[in-house]
Amino acid sequence: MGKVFLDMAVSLDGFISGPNNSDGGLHDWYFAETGKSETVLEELQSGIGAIILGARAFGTSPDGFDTPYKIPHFVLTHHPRATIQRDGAQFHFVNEEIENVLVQARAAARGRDVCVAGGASIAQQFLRAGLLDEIQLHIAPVLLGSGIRLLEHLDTTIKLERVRVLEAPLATHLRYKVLK
Amino acid sequence: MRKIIVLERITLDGIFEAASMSEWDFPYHSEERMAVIAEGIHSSDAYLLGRTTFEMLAPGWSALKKNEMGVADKLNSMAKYVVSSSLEKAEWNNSTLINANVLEGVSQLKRQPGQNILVHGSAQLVQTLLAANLVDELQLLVHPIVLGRGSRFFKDGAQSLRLELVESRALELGVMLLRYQPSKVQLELIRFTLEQINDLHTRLGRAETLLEYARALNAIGVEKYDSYVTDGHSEFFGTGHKVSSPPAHNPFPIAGKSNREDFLRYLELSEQGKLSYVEMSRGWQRVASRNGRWIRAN
Repeated sequence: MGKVFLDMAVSLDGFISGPNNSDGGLHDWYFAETGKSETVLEELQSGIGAIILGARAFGTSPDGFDTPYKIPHFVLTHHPRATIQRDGAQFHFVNEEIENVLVQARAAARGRDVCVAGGASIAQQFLRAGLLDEIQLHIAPVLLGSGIRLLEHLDTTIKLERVRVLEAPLATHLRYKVLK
Repeated sequence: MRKIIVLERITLDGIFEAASMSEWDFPYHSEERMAVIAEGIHSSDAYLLGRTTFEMLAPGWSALKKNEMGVADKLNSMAKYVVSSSLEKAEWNNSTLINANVLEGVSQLKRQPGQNILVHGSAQLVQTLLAANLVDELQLLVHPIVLGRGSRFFKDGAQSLRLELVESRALELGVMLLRYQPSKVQLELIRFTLEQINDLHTRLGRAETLLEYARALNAIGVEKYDSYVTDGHSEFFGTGHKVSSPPAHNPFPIAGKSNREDFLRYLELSEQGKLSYVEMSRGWQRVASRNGRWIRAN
């Protein structure tokens, strides 16, 4: 069975977006064409079978968005709508408890990994509920100072085991197993 | 120029609180981690701290006499500088209080000959130093735990800053050492310093060269500046960067309503050498606006 893992780009001071909703260079590594970041990207694209994300992370487009991940996406929302098919990817809109959404995502992933891709609120819900097997953070070499913090509102201590670290110019890729 | 090295122990969620260290720090002690900490101490001959960290460390370390952990003797004997406007006396052997003109004081420390200047804890001080471009290296020991509560090292409202990774090192028990320095790109483009501003002011800070002064400030990245009549300090703003000059005098109370003619009269008298800056400001305090600010007429 595949793993359930959180995958997010974050600044050194813990923000997933900066002042005025700016990206602050957090996703620069995504466009790397060689090196360790590219390895991480290839791994993500070949290993993930389904993605879970929040409504805000999904955005407001009526047609979904272009993505290299031609797999089912489960968008958590209080305003469900019809599934969107877009260029090989599917966007399902679900208004259910995260445990139920995870069950659906696992089934859709068919043995491959399920990736929780954001935003902060969804990540926190999964962390609090103890539903993650692993956390992967892409730490960009930047202090943003303000913005949306990833690891807050948790009220629970989570011990981790470092599984891997890959150093690249635009991000340090850190992967941890969640100890249960 | 001496370097300021900041070494911080934090959790993955950025907590650095001392009170909970038995949960997120002590369990991850290892020879490798100790070696990193000891190296920082032995390659420095100055320890620079904010008040909270100083008061937390002083009593414990002062009581150790047997070079515990191979660092106690060095910590107790090395020159220590504590930044605080409220502390009256720095109670730790070989400590000096810096209670005013912090940036000037720290810059001066860097200009003196010597080894590295080490900073531990001191979140507020580090934020100030980062914003003033005085930190040469930021080292984080990231522990493999999300604590979920407690005070964070990186607080909201700090300035954005691009960095470059110098090294990442995987230590025992899942601890990560991440070493960063401020990105050079940033430094070259916009990080004007107080020294540069003072230099320009000395050469061009007169009424008849006002335009050149403004242009020269602009050339080093100053986009606007505010001067405060209250105590004569100024704040210079660039993109994502700000520098403050120290107060020139004790604060003056400010009048409730401004009067432009009187304001200009005092300026003229100062320019003619008939009034010193302080006397001019005293005149301004009778005519300046409520918040103590004045903006140069264009």
